[in-house]
Amino acid sequence: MKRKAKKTFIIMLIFVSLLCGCWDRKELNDQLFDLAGGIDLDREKRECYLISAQMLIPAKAAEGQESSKSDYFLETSRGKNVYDAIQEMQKYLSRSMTRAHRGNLFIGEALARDGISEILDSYTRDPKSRIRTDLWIVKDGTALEIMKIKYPLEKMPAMAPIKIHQAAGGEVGTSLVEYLIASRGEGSYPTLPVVKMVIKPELGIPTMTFYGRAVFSHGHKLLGYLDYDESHNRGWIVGLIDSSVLTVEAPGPVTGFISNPKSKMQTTLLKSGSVKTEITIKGQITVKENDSPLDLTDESNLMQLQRLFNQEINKEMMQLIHKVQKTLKADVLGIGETVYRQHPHYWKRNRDKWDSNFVDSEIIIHPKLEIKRIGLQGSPVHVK
Amino acid sequence: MKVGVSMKLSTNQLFWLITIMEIGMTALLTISDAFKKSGQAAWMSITLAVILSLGVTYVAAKLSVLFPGQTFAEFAPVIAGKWFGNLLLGSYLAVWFAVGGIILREYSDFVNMSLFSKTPTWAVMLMMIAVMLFCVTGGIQTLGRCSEIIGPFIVGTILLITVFLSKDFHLFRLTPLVPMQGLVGITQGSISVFSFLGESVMVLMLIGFVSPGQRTITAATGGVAMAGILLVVMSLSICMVLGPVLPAYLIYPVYSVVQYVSVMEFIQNIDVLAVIVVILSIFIKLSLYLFITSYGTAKLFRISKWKRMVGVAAAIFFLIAMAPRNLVESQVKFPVFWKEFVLPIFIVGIPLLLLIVGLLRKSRGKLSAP
Repeated sequence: MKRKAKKTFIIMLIFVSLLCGCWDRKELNDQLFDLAGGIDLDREKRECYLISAQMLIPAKAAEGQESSKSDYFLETSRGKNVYDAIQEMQKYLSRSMTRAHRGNLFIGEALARDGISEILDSYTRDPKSRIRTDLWIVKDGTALEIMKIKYPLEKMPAMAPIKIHQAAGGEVGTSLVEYLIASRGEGSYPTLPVVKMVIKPELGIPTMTFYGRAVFSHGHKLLGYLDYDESHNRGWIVGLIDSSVLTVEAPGPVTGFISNPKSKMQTTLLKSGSVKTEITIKGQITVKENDSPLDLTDESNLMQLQRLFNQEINKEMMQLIHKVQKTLKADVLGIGETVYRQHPHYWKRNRDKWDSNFVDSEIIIHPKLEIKRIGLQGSPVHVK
Repeated sequence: MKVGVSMKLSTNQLFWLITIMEIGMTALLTISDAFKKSGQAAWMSITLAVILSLGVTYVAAKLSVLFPGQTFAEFAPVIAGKWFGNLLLGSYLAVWFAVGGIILREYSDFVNMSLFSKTPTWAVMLMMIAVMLFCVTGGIQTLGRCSEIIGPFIVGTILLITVFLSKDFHLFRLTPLVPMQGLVGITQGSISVFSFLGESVMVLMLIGFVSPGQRTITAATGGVAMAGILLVVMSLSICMVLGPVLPAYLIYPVYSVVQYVSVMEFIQNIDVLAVIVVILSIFIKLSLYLFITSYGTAKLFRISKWKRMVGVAAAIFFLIAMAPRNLVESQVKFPVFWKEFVLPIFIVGIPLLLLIVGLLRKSRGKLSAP
């Protein structure tokens, strides 16, 4: 009796495990890795999305050899929302699409202006879709245009912006999370990185560049752009960059490479009820090129150059602040967050008024850059 | 009934059993709730919940130690009178059956979400029940030995994931340290966590198997404290990575944050580790519930061989697990019932009352050692 029960039990166990294996069997040979995607607004029909995907051709990747043919192919489809469009795309694919490996998603400018709140849900709800994703806005163009560019350095051209962003000293993989945190955070406007297609007249072939950052409204609609320098300086203030480059006229251009860029934000409440923000900018400069007659081994010259660097960063930061306050009227510098952290009780009473308070609030930059290294020579060798 | 080796627990085993049983579901399902109510002060809510559940565990353990070598099924009639004691035992068993079934359901929902799509829920449940049956029929010591291996593994994995995440930590996301939702928010945020951690009242049924005279109470409360510390660590790292607002919108913030891990673009997509931790933890928890329900039912109906009840109890678990029609019933409505009904009465009220009665009667010498 007892023997028999044990036997039945074991047989049941085997059956159950076998059945499970069959139901959700996913062969690697039947998978297709969707490594980058694009979403555009379908121009012919409104309320409809046009999605595109760059997918790895499995056999090509497996061979691991250089061949003249490309390693990827493009597919497009239309749908009422992202998942609908993906299902539509599946009709043209012999293998099932796996979203888990996608790190890049491009959004066309038209769609960004129309609002992206609808497409975000698909990326936070689907457990197969990673939260570690970079979202990109395509300036002056559609996502499809970016996906079509043949970029020679990467196997998958759409992976290029990540690497460009990384090489320029930016953080990678965090833009979706940062966007969501900012959109739900205290008084901040969310931002996303931007790519742009350019055709250099001297080369004549399309390529892509990392343009800067796109600023979004609380309603997830595109408000405007920060260009490369502006977004880099914004990154300096909010602590997202790991290096920077600055050129000053001394007279004759001098370029410094800035390592350890840091910033500190201090907010004070004024009696008038508004907020005064002081931002200290710190960094260590290594002089990379000196085309001025200054002999940098002379201390007074060095100090003069250091002053020039500080004036220059002050000017650039003030331009950024002016644009953010007066043109975009959007707090993308995290000042609201800082007020919330430093004066939580004031914030609780005034958070609803922050959007208008921010525009008129006083912001001061304290540049504290220091020249640490000047390279291999004092004055330029060729200058007499 | 002859008490064999298979019915003995060491204090070490008790410690790990409690730690494992407390960590899995609580981390998975209640952290989101704490963030909803108290934002960046979620870790304070969780700390408060841990302190409260340490108190509850202490009461339950103290009560059990009054009757060395006896479980709740045996000493309830002694302390509260035969009729009322059996009524108490019966209602506790009902609660344990219910929560066991619901946990089985929540487990299969989670596994289905993270790993499968076509596999029916009942198959996932049957797999788990099969393993539970295999383990529980071996006696409580089989479970204890399992926990001595699984426990350190779980703790190690959680610490490893925390280390992997640490490069994405932003300390400033924890500020302002002043809880903006006030003490009310912190307390409200702690109730969910407390109601899950409070499941440690099941030590009432476990301490009887630990040989008397050891530091049993320390082991039981230590298990809760260990799980509590891990929970606080998890909530801190979630807050430092995802900020205080996002986790409130996610059903499984722990799972989402593990998906976020990326070290040098190389160690990525390790969410399967989180799934393993959850599966192991739930396996121990469900097996414990299966054990105490079948053992308790056998005592209640005076069935001499409790192992005969294991199959029946498993069937009841399965039926209860299949009952909820959707995720809202199992993951929203049942926890509300648990929080508003089971927590005040079965987790806090009755054990405290019984302890007071037990202590009074003991001091008057009416309860003699068996």
